[in-house]
Amino acid sequence: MLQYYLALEISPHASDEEIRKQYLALIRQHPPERDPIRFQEISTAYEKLKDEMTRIRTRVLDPYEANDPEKAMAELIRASGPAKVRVGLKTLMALLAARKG
Amino acid sequence: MAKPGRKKRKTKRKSQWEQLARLPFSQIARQGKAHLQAGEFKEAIPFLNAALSKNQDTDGLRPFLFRAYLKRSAQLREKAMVKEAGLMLANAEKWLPASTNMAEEDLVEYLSFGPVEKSAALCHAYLKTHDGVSPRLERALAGLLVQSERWDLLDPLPTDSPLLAHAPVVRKALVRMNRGDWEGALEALKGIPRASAFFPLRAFSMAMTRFFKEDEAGLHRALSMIPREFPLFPLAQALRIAPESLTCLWEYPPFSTRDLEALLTHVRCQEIEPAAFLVKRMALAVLPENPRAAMMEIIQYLRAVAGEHRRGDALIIGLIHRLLPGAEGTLLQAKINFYRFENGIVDAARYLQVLDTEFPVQREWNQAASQVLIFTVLRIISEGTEIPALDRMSAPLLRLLGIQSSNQELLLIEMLSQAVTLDPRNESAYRLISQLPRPSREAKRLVEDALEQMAVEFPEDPYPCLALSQLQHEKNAFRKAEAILEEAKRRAPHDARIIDAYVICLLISAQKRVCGNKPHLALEDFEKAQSLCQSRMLPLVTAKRLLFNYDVPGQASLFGPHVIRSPQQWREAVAAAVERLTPFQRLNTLGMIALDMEGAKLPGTRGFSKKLKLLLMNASVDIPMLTSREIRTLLTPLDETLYRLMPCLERAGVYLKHFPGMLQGVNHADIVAVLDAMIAENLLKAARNEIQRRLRTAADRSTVLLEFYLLAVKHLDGRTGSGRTEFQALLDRADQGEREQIRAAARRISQHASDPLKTALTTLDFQYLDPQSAAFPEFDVLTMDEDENWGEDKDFWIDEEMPLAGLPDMLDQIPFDMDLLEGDFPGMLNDQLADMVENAVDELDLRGAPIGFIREMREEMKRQTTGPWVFDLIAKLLDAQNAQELSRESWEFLYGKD
Repeated sequence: MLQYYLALEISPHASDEEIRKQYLALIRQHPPERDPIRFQEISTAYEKLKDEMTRIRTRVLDPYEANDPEKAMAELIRASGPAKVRVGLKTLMALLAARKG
Repeated sequence: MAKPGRKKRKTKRKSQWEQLARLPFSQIARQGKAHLQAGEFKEAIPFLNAALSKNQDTDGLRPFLFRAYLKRSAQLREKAMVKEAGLMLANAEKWLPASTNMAEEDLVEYLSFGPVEKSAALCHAYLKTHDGVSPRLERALAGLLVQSERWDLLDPLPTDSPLLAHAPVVRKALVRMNRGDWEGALEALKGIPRASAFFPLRAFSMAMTRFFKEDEAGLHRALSMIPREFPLFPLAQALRIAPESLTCLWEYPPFSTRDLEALLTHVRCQEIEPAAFLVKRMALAVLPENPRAAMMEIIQYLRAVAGEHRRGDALIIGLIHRLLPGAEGTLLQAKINFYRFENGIVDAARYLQVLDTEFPVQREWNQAASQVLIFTVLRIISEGTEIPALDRMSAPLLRLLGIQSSNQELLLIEMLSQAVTLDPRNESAYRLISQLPRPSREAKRLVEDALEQMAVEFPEDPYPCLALSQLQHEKNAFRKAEAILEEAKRRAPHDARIIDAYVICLLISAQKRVCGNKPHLALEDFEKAQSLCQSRMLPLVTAKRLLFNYDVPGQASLFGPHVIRSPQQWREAVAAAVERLTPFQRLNTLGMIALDMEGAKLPGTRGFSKKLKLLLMNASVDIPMLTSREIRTLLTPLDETLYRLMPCLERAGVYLKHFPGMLQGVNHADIVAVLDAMIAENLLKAARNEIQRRLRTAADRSTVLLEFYLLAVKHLDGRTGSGRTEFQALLDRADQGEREQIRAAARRISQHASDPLKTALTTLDFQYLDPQSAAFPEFDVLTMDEDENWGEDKDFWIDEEMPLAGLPDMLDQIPFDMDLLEGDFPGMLNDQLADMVENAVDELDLRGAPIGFIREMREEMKRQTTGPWVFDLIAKLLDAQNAQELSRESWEFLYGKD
């Protein structure tokens, strides 16, 4: 179920209210007519996490109900994408020089 | 290790050098230049080197050799031979010409690859001695400025140079870029036009902003604007192809789709070590703050990838042992077994035993356990999972599942009751429990308790009231049902389901009152039903009311305005009542009266039946006005909710008896449902005639399905002795879609057939219809049970090589009459049997083996056994206490499902 939290960009400890707030904020940012794929992703994630009972059901049964585990894993890594670090040009060029060396 | 032939090559090169040295200078120099011009840099180098070694005045040739080395260096770099390219560049630097002699092309080439400091120095010298800068050199210089920030290089440039004009902006932007403020840099560079030599820097800033905004398309668009010769091109290339390789851009090493593919390959190839390593890496990338939770999830997904076989099991267990030792591993193993559900409720109970590791908070545990119980019940229903003998399960496991009785009929209801108790807000548990069969009084009590709880938990939901009223009907408590439906009506006043249920409840009550000689009360019910009902139930209410008049002629007159004295009067009353109705409702009402009169064999005179027949004949004018869908509704069975009101639900016979021609009004789409109804009512002749009529008149429409029906009807009717050939020929003619239709139809028809046709239709394998395969081999259970000598069989399972010494002696103490064993098998022997099973597991080296392997081993041993399988006997003998205390492996060996 991690991919759903990652898709909503929210902590696994978020409350019902926080989840709903974040969901509304995200669908405002990604309306279906402009960004249908992301919208679908956000909606699915919300449906899986919307309240405590649903979250518990998702946690217990989601891996069993995943029709395509490979796709689920791909979604997981896509949704997670480790945090990017802002580095400057000099750092990038140093990395390049080190590689050349 | 030296390459073979290296010495030989060295000797050959030496001899070539000697040959070159013997040639005159002019010839060598000419050949060197010719190779250079032809782009054969590798060949040019030895000639130019030889020429320079002959002539001290090298100024003329130095630039050529410099260029040859530079170009060769570029060639090698293209081939990704970075080290060799570096060597060539170093050689080139040895032959660096004076700045006055240097060609611009060579300078540009050097600036592309040379070290920044040397490039800057060389460039500075060149610009001082040359006037004017070509656009190509301008671009190279821009790149050099970005790398070196040696702004003094711009001093020799003419004042109108665009580089000079843009330099201040670029300097400002570079400061921001070095801080990582790519958006600020882009903003600063927005004035740089596309034609400017600094434009690639703007494109790079744009690419970086898109990278941080996760705008893949924008990133690629920006990167495509950076030319190959720009010094940031390798960075652009890395961003385009493998951004994860730029490690400084990521907080943790990212896990790419290529890594995922590698992980899946390792899993499929059962390579535990590399798979474990990648799972760990992926978990860290996915959830760095809690990689163990991520690992649990990833392994659960990998379970499906690894496959449901012994090797897959071994891999998953291996991953769990390596990555999640301790409680989490135990939990995960139990969860995976629960998903596999090979031992049904035992797996569910074992998962519940460790569920607190996953849900340590009690409230969450309750909800999760409730979900587990619902899922277990659903799997048992959908998969028909075998339920193990409940007395073989320990009390704690049964308690976890909420099972209190040893009655298997109650098992599912008890589990759902437990689910409801654990999580009273779990709506699906209530709904599921209300749909389960409840044959016994105890089952009804449990369901009633659950539904009453639901009614309290969901005070606005009419569902529990509806379900409760149905339950009260089953208990013949009609007044209670009515009171509950009143409450349902309060909750959802406009819900048609509730109104229908209420009407049915009133009609049942009225019927009971008529039987109880209380027609005045029955009349009240009818009137109430009449006032409540909507168009859908109107024919039923009208029919019942009219039948009431027929049933108790005269009595109703005491309480109502009409007096029924004769069949003629009844006919007039019916005609007047149905006149107001639509043709469909009219036929529906008359059909229900006929069904009731014929099916229930109501007491009465022949005159009433005759009058009904006349009424039906008069109604035949309504038939052409019906739509195909309406005819279909009339011919298919009544709704199941009416089963207490009607003698039977099938009514096609009633209509077809009076209106045989009404089938003509059924269109092609509806005929299948009608034929199914006719077959269910055994109206085979009518069905056959109708199909044959349709086949005669079918134009270009495919008739395969109808032909299949015809053939099946003929078989059902015993009118054909043909075997599989005709069915097979039909199947061969059918396309994919038609085959699916035939398969579905065959399943439906099989419910009304007997063997061998039933089996043939169920399996869609018509070989069963062949005379030779029609006789099924019979298994004589009685004969087998009476074989008293099985224990003394010479081929009894144990042989000398089997590591189960002592077992035969032990078995000698077991009486063979199993009926005597119930509860009487001595406790001490029971303990010994349990020990023996544990020993057997040790001897067979099954300790720690995956479940699948244990079962496979047992099945293999069973196959090799010619006599009965002794462990079945032991499984039966072991008491619950000993069974519970068995190790995981022994339990699987004894009780694990095949």
